[in-house]
This record gives sequence, C-alpha cells and structure tokens, in this order.
Amino acid sequence: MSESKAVANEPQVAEPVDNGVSAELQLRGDIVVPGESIGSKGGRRGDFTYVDGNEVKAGVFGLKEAKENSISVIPLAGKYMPKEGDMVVGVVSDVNRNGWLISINAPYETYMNRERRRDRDDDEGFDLRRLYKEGDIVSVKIFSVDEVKSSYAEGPRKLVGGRIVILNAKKIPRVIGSKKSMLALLRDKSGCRVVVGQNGIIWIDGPEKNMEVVVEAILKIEHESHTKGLTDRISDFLDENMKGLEVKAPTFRSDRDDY
Amino acid sequence: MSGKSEVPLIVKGKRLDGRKLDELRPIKIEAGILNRADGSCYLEWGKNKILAAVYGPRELHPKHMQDNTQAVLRCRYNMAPFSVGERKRPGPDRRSMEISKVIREALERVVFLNYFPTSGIDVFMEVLQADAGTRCAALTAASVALADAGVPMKDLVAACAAGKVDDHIILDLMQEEDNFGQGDMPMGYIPSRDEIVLLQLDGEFTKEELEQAKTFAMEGCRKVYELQKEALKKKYAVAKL
Repeated sequence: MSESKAVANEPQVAEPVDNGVSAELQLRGDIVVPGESIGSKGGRRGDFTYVDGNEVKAGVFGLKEAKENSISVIPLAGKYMPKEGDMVVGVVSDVNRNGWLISINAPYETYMNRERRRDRDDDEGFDLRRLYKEGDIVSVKIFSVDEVKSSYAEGPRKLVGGRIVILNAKKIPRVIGSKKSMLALLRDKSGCRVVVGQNGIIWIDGPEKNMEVVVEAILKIEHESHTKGLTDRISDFLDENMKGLEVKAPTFRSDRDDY
Repeated sequence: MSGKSEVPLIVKGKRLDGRKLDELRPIKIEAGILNRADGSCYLEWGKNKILAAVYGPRELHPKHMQDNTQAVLRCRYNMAPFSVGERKRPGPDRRSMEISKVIREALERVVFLNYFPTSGIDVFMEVLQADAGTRCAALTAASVALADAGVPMKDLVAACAAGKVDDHIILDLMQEEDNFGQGDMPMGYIPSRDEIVLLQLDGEFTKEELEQAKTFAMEGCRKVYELQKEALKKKYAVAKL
C-alpha cells in the first residue's frame, strides 16, 4: 500500500472502485451507515433502526428501504440469528441420549429433541446415532427461540451427498427471490436439488458439472445482492454456463423429498 | 512532558511537516479487506498503519465469561515488534492493556450488545507501524470494522487527538510533537450524538487550553467521521452511469 496523498480536510471523492462489481450495475437502495438519519419519527420502522430525538436512524450498515409509511434497513452483513419458523440447514455437532445438537452457522447452536422426529420411535435406549450422527447435514425447522437465543428444532431431513455452500446469511432472501423466483430459476435451469437454509447454508445435489454452475451462480448472487436486476442476470448466467450440460428433472430418493 | 522543546516545533504557524495547527494528517481508510474475518478495516493515518478485524458475534468461551443479558465485547490492541524504531518486545504490556480497555469501553457505548445474549464479539487491532496517535487510529479502524461486520450499532466512533506543543494547541500530534511537546489529549467522539466516549489527557493544560483542545479534537473527529462513512460506502459502491 502506498502512502495516501488525500488531503484529510476534504473527504475523499468516491472514484470508480474495483471491488469486483461491474460498472453497469445499479444499487437497489441508498447505502446507509450506523447513525445515519433515515427519516423522521412517526410511521412504522423496521429492524435495525432506532429513534434518536425526532429522527429515525440506521442501526446497522446496510441498504435503506423506504416504503409508504414504513422505513427499515436491510443489513449488508451480519450473523444469522435463530428465528421461529425458519428452515435452516445445519451440521449435527453432538448427539446425546435425548437428541441432537446442530450447529447452524450462528452464534448459537440449535437442539432437536428425539421426540421431534417425524418417524417417532419410542424405544428407550435407541441409539440416536443410527438416525443422525455427528457431521451429518440436516435441514430442520426452528419452532422455538427463548430470550437467551437457545433454539429448538423439529422436522429433520437428512441431506445425503451433494455439497454445501455457506453464504452471508443476510443475502439468503436474494437467493430465494420474491415468490421464490430466484430459487425456482436455480432449480429449473440446472436440474439440481437445492435446499436453502435461512441461516446461509445451502445444500445442492445433482450432476457434478451442473452443481459447479449453481455454486458459481449462488456466489454471484451473494456478491451482487445489493444491485438491481439480479434475477435477469442470473438467468443469463445460467443459460450461458449450462450450455452443453444435460439438465434432467431431479430424481428424488423418496416421496418425502420434495425439494 | 517537560516545558518547551529546544528545537522549535512550530514556526510561523506551521508545523514540522508543513501542517497548520488545526490540520489532520492524510488519512486513508479501507473497509473489508480480510476474507476470513467477519469485518475488517485497514487504516493509514499519516505514518500510522493499522489493521482491525472483527469476529462475531460468536459463541463465547470460556463459558463463565458469558453474560445472559448481552454480548461480551473483547478488544485487543497490539503493536507489532517492528512497528516502532526500537524493537518492541512482543506481547501484551501495561500500555496495550490500558488501550484495549479504553477502546473497549468506547465501543461498548455504541454497539447494541443486548441483541446477542451469551455471545462474544472480538475486535483485534494490530498496529503495523506507529507514529503517535495509534489509540485514536485503532479506535477509528475498529469502529469501521465493526460496521463492516454487520454488527448492529448506534453510530460510528471517530477518534482524534489534540495536544499542546510550544504553548500552542494543535490537532493530531505526530511522533516528534508527541515526544517533545507539552501535552496530548486523545478523544473518541460521536459527532451526530455529540457524545465523548474516550478522553484521556497527559500534560498540563490551562482551562482555556483545555477548551480549545476539546474544540480542535471534536472538529478533527468530525472530519474522521466523514472519512469513515466514505470508506464503508465505497465498499459497495457501483459507478454511476
């Protein structure tokens, strides 16, 4: 790094920067930093905002989203926080006689009691490792979170084979898209099975070459998530990169697999 | 901190490096330069070079440190052995532990710690090259790194020092002025909330001098604050058509 020549008294002017985002992209909203005023008091305000005097201020580094009568900030980064009703993909990290601990790419692990399985087996002393052992990838639904963020999960599904991609959890809504449009695109154009956890872990299974393209596409979504017109660009990207690859409808291992 | 220095440090209102009394050194801030950290910042402030990294919120160990009501913020300010003229003995010492503590207390004022009960947020600040004012530079870099990590916070903390040299109050002391001057006053400040979160003072100031040093430091912090915002926005900037 060379010595900077900027004059400190005048803030540096933002020149086109090479941060890997191409120049024709447009931002989806204004970028705001913590403490920046985003509106005046009154009306609804979303997460990551706070009131200071008569102003509403951003409580996180993110994109400002102003709708009619409501204002919120969509964070650009940050850890996943367990939330009731979220479907997450995790790795079994511990097994005890009553259930499983699952690590979910968050500051907290989630716990699944043996009673919360679909196929309940009330046989006392049943070795739970026969169902899920340490290192297995499972998708679970979080049904309860308490005040110290301990969370409890149910409805496990084991995800066998394939591969996982771990993203910044705050970009997951873009991978899914509005009305699941982006996710449908990824699935349809690649023929891969894709399971997206709200916690930023994505599981993909399909032919090796196709999987690689999907991973590329997902990383592209993560990288350009703050820009407009992403679905069209990903569609083009998939069309181009799937050329010459066979795209078949995914084969499901059992009728319970409906991803 | 003795009396006036033997060699004049201020001549005709100009300092050794040609700055005016209330002028900052050149500052360059870059956010998000480490891939492995959740948030990071590289900062050059005159000849100071500082790298800050943020990890977390993440599970906190040892477990007895956990707090069921809020996250625990841990800060580590460290100077590289090669950061100063004479080799610095590596590892924490009295000075770096003090600086880690005051920086932690400054940052605790802005981070929404209650969002993340039982977890821990780690902030590491490595001084690669030092030229006076490293605690201010480290605090400035740390708050950019925290924002970059997506940690919810009330505001950014800007920091800047004022001091007394040759009976003049000046802004942002460099090494020579720090060594041969009469006083040094680092300040951490949140301009938009008008809140001082770090204030230390070494030397002798009259009441009027103190007031002026305060005014100078606050003005400096405002400029630093703008640069911090600029740096964060630049990370996601796309060129306008």
